[in-house]
Amino acid sequence: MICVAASVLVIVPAFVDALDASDSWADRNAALDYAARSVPYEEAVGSQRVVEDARLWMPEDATYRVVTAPDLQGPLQWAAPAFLTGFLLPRRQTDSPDAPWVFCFGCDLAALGEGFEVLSDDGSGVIFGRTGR
Amino acid sequence: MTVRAIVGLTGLNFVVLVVGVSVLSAIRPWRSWVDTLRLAGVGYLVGVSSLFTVLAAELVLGVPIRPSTFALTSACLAGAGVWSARRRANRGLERSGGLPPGLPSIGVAVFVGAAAVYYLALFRAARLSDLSWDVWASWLPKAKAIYFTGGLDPALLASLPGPSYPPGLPALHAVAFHAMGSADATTLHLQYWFLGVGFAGAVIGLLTTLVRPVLLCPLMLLLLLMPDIRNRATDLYGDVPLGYLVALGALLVLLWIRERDSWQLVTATILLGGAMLTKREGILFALCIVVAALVATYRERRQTWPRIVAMGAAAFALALPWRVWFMLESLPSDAPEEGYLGVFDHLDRAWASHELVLRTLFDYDLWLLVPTLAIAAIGLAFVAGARREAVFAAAFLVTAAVGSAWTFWSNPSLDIGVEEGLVNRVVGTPALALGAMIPLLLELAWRGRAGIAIAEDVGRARARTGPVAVAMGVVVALIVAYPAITVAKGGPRFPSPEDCVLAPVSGQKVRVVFGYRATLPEAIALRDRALEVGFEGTEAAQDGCGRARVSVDGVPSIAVGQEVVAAARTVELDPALELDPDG
Repeated sequence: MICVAASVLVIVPAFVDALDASDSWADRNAALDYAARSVPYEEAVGSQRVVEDARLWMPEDATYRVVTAPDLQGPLQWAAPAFLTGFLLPRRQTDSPDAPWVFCFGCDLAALGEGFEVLSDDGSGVIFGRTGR
Repeated sequence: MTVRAIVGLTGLNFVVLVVGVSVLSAIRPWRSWVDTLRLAGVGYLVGVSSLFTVLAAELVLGVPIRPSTFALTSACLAGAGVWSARRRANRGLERSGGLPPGLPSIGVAVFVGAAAVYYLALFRAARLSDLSWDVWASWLPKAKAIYFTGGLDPALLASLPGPSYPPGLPALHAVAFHAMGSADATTLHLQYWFLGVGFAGAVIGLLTTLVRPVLLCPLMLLLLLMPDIRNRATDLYGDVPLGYLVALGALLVLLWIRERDSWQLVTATILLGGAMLTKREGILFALCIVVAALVATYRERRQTWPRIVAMGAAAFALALPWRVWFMLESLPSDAPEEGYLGVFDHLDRAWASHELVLRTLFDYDLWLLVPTLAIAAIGLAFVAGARREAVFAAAFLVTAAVGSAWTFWSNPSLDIGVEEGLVNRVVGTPALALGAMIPLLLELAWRGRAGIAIAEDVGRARARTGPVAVAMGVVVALIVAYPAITVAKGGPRFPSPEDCVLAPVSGQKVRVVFGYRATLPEAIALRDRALEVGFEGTEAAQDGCGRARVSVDGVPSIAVGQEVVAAARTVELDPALELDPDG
C-alpha cells in the first residue's frame, strides 16, 4: 500500500503537469507557420527560402546535385544533403554533374559552367539554380 | 493536417487492429468477445509487429509497398489468422472463460477517465507538431522514399545517417502516407498516438484479470505520466515504439514464467521480432529478456530453456531477411563503431557509461518513481515467494542497464553525458518495461504464496464494486469535459494554403493577386501573361504556405486595387485583392 500511496501522491501533480505541458505544446504547434512545420531548419539547409523555391521550381521527376565549397564545415556540410533528400523527394539527389538542378553551398559558381542560371539567392550563401545543359 | 488525413490514419490503424487480433486469435483461441476486447491492445501491437515483419520482407524481396500490396498483405495475414483460429476451434481447443464478470467502480472510472483525458491532450498536442532533427535527416527520407517508389534504394540509404537501421517504422509510415492521401509528416505524429493508446490498452488488458484495480489503476497512470515518455510519445523517432514492443514482450515473458501458456511466449516472439525491426537496440533488449528468462527459470531449465532460446532465435529470424539484405547490399553495419569487441579498447568509458545510465534511470524528472518502485516491487515479490517473477524482473533490470551502458561504452563518438538527450532515449525502454511489470509484481507481493488464486480473487473484488451507470458517467463526463474546455478556448485549427490569403483592410496597403500556382514555372507563365498586358511590377514568388503567388504588391489602397482588378478583367485576367502585410 505504501507503493500505491506513493504513486497516487506523484500522479496528481504529474497529471496536472502533463495537461499543462500538452496544452502548451498544442498552442505552440498550432501557432507554427508553414515554414516552421514543413521546411527543414535554416541551421541544416542554410536558407529555408532557397530550398522552398527549389521545391517550387523542380518538377517531381527532377534530379539535382549538391555542390559544396571544399572548406565548408558544420551542418551544411554533413546534414544538408540528407535534409534536402527528405524534403524534396520524389525529386532525386545525385552526384552526377549532368543533373540539371544544382544547390550551391558556398561553392564556386564559375565551376558550374557559363550556362548556370541562378533561380534563388537570398544572400545566405546558399544558391539554387539550373545548368544550361 | 486535414480531417481527411486523420480519418485515413484512423482507418489504417483499424486495419492494423483487425490484422493483429486475427493473428492473435491464431495463437490464442478466441474465448469470448469480451476476452477479445480485453486483449485488443495486445492484438493491435501484434498487428504492428506482424506488419513490420511482412513489410520488411516484402521490401527485401522487391515487392513494392503500395496500397494494393498493403491491402493484400493485411488480408492474407488476417485471413490466415482467422482460418487458423477456426481450425483450432473445430478441433475443440477453444475454451470458455475470459474476463471475470464484474462492474467497474467509480475509483476505476476516475483513473480510466484520467487516462482518456491524458491521451486526448496528447492527441491535441501532437496533431500539428513540427519535425525534429533526426526525423528530417533519417526517418522521413526513408518513409518518403518507400511512399514514392514503393521500395528502398540502397544508394539512397547509403546517403543517409543510419543506413542499416531497420525499415519497420518507415514502411508503416509510407503506408500511413497512402492512407492519409499525401506525405503529411505533420499528421504522421498521430500514428504514434495510436501506438501509445495500443500499448496502454495492451498492458491493462493483460493485467486486468490478474491485478486488483487499486494497484493497476494508479501504477498504470504513473507509467503513462513518466515525463520523458510523455514528452517523446509522439516524436517520429523509433525509441518509444521500441519501448512499447520490448515492454509488452517482457511482460508476456513474465506472465509465461508464471503461467506457462504457450501463446504468451509466441506473442512475445512476434513483438520482439517487431522490436528488432524498429531499432537496432531491439536486438539488445530482446537479448536482455532472453537472458533474464534463462536466469529466472534456471531450476526448470530442462523444460524452459529450449523454449526461451527458441523464442529469441525465432524473433531474430523475423528480422533476419533485412539483416541479410543490408549486408548483401554492402550498407554500413549497425554494429558498434569499433566492432563488438572494441569495448576492450575503451575500458576508460566502462564506468562512466554505467554511471550515466544508472544516474539517468533513477532521475525522478524523467521517470518519476517508476524505477524506484520497480526495485521495491521486485524485493517485495521476492520476499513474498514470487521468486521466479522477481528474479526475471531483477535480471532484466541488470542486463538492460548493462546493455544500455554498453551502447555508450562501445561507441566512442558518443558523448557520455545527458546534454544530447541520447541516454534517456535508450533508457526509456527498460523504464517502460519495468513500469509494465510493477503492478503484477506488487500483486504477487500482496497475495504472497496464495498468489496462484489471483484471478478468482480479483474477479470477486470486481463483483463487489459500485454501480456501472455512475462509473460510466464519470468516464464519459471526463472524456467530454476536456474537449469542451479546449474548444471553448478556440476550435481546432487545420492549416491550409488559404492561411496566406488575407482579406484587405481599409487604410492598409493591398496586393492584387492574379492567382496561386503549385509550381514556380506555372506561376511565372501567369506572371509573364500579366506583364504582357501591361501590369508592371507583377511578380511570382512563394507565398509562405506552400504555393507560388503571382501578384502586384504594395498597392496603396483598396480603391486603387479595385481599379487594377477592373482593368485586369478587361483582358481576361481574374485577380483578387488581398492585404499586403509587408506593404
